[in-house]
Amino acid sequence: MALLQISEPGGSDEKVSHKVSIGIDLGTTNSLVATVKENSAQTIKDEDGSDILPSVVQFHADNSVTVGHEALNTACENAENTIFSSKRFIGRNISELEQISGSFPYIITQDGESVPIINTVAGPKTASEVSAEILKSLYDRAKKCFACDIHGAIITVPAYFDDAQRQATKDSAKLAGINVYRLLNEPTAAAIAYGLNELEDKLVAVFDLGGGTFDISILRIHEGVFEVLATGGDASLGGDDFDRSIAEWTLTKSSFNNKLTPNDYRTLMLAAKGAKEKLTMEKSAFVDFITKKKNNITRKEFEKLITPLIEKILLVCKKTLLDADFKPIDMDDVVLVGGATRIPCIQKSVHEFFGVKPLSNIDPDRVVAIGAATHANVLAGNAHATEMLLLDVTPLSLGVETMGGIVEKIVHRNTTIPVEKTQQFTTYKDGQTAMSIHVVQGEREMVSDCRSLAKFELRDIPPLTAGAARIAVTYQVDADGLLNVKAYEESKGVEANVEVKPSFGLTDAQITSMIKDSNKYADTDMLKRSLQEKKVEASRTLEAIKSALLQDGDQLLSGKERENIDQCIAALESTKENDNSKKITTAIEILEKETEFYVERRMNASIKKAVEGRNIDEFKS
Amino acid sequence: MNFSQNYFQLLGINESFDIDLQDLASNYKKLQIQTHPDKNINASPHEKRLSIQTSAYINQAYNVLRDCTKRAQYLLEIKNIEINDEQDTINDSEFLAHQLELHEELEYSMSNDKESCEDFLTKIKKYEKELFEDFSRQYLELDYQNAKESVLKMKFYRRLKMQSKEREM
Repeated sequence: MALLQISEPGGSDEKVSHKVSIGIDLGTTNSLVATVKENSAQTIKDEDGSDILPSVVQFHADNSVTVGHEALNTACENAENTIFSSKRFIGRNISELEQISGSFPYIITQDGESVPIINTVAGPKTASEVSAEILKSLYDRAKKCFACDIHGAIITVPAYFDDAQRQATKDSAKLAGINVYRLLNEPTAAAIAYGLNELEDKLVAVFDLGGGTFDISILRIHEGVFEVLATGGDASLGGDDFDRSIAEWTLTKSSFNNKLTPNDYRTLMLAAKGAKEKLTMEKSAFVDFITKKKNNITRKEFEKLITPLIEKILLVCKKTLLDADFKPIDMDDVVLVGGATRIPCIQKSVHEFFGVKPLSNIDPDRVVAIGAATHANVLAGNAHATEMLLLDVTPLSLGVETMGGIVEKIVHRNTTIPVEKTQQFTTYKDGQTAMSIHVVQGEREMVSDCRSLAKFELRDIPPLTAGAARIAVTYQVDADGLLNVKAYEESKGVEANVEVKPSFGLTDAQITSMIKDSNKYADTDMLKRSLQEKKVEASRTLEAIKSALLQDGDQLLSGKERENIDQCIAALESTKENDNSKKITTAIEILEKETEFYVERRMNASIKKAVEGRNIDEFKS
Repeated sequence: MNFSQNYFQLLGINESFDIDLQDLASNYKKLQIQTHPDKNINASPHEKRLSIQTSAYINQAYNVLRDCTKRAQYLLEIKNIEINDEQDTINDSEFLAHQLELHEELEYSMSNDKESCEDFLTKIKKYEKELFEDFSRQYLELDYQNAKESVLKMKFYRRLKMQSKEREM
């Protein structure tokens, strides 16, 4: 659409215009970073040659932080300052945290409606801050690998992540100083890793069985367009549950009656996990746990143990397929993601269910990062060859609370995003001048069973008789799956005040102050950094508008309009050379304001061209 | 942004009930390739907002046009014939009696095996198809009153389909 980036073909230019981009798989247990190098997506290894970064962050009294293997290895000695699985806490409030994992060795507190805080020796930390450390570590690794700045990144999130969790993940990236192109659903990333060169119309199911969660997504891939048709899953079912069944089996089998100490439990779970992994290749495995009897589990026994879990997983698959009006046999391909999909009987069950041999030739632990890197490379504008596009859906319905605590759905689950929907409401009392709007996410009928996302008040409604006021509530979900809610009163054409208070989540001010507080940036550094960012923004704005003018400035603008825009460009160009970030901001704003009508004209023109069957590329040369 | 175009104009499709769904899908994708926020990651905030709105509007248009019932209702809306789900009723007593029968049949097929469930859905789809043909004819003949009644009837079948799906889960 508007202000398209012009690609410059030719060898020498390519080096200059190539933007380094990365894909980050921010996982619950492990995280990875990948990039596209010499036309192939690959994971980036650390100095020790390992590409997996355990998602473990350790805080120290001197404010230093260790991440990954090092933090993992010293976790036992410093349990209350070593944070595991921050992805499980991100975007959640304290009561939800208690539900998902019982207890943690660290102290989590929540002050009223604010974000839960983990108390560490280095001070209070939010889950977003913990995840930011993991992101920073991967980001630094990538920077070292390229010895240059990274233009932008894609961060993957589970498809079932709700608005608060997505927002919190974006906040983490902001804290880590990463320019995020977009968030990408993990299963979608996996499909991209497999399917870039697909030419024929294909239906693909992505079967993602991670340590703690299961996701299934149905995609249609056609000429580079990835259309997510439906997504479903179970956020509390994964490979860990298989370990648990082996652990339980061991206890029953060996009639272990002693009370398990936390240490015993850890040993047992590790032994179970080891046995599970061994059973992938072998017919039987020994569960290495202190009991009198020998605990040898055969693959057959293991398969029997996990049959109910597999049935549960396949039921989720069936529901999701039904949601999109498909049958299992409609799928042309099935992509496997997540370490647990290595289990032979899982592969067999998936094969039987869909009637097609699942794809697993890309390492199921790396496939998400690889797909994210592939897509990041496209968004950065490096992959010219394919007009690739990703059309994703909302994983959960979004609604509003109405009388009696009932949810009225405004955006339904599995709607293609971005989406904008408006619903009319009215007052129920004479002379009512304010209205409280409660935004919720989930599939259930009652507000109490759904996730509360935000509450805000619409004030200054003109006092009218009950039912006369027309209040339009608009839900907008962007391509990242992030929600924006607006409300205004229509009957008198007055736009009333809207104040959105996130139920919990970081405000922009909090994020800014966190960045400021981070010890890495002294005040002057902050100023320098923000000036630098402004200059980059100015350059980007200029580059975009200039290439747009080159393309169609003559067709779409009158002489006078063009003159005015040229003046604004000149103004920004000269201001940019100064070191005054405020002035640069103003000049950018003026240029943007003065080109608003032009941007819209371009959008309309490009739409017209698209349906007339002509390609915008024709207008580039 | 020119949001005054109707969905057919926006997607470059002739304003009619019988449309080529492949053309629709292909034009939809062409438009999204131009407007989607992913194609505007380096854009200014204003452009990004515009891109989200435009892309959302195209999604909305596509969702209406690709669904027969929604498309029929929208065609009438263009002719200023609004359908109000709460106020508009069907007077065709034969149709209503048939609906009651179908509901009973649904209950029955649910308590039975999967096959009868699928048979039921196939049957519903057959009735729907007849309605679509009715609507297409009525619309062409400018018989909007009966066309409206056809849309109301389509909605009955839509609900039946939803119910049978829900229960299958």
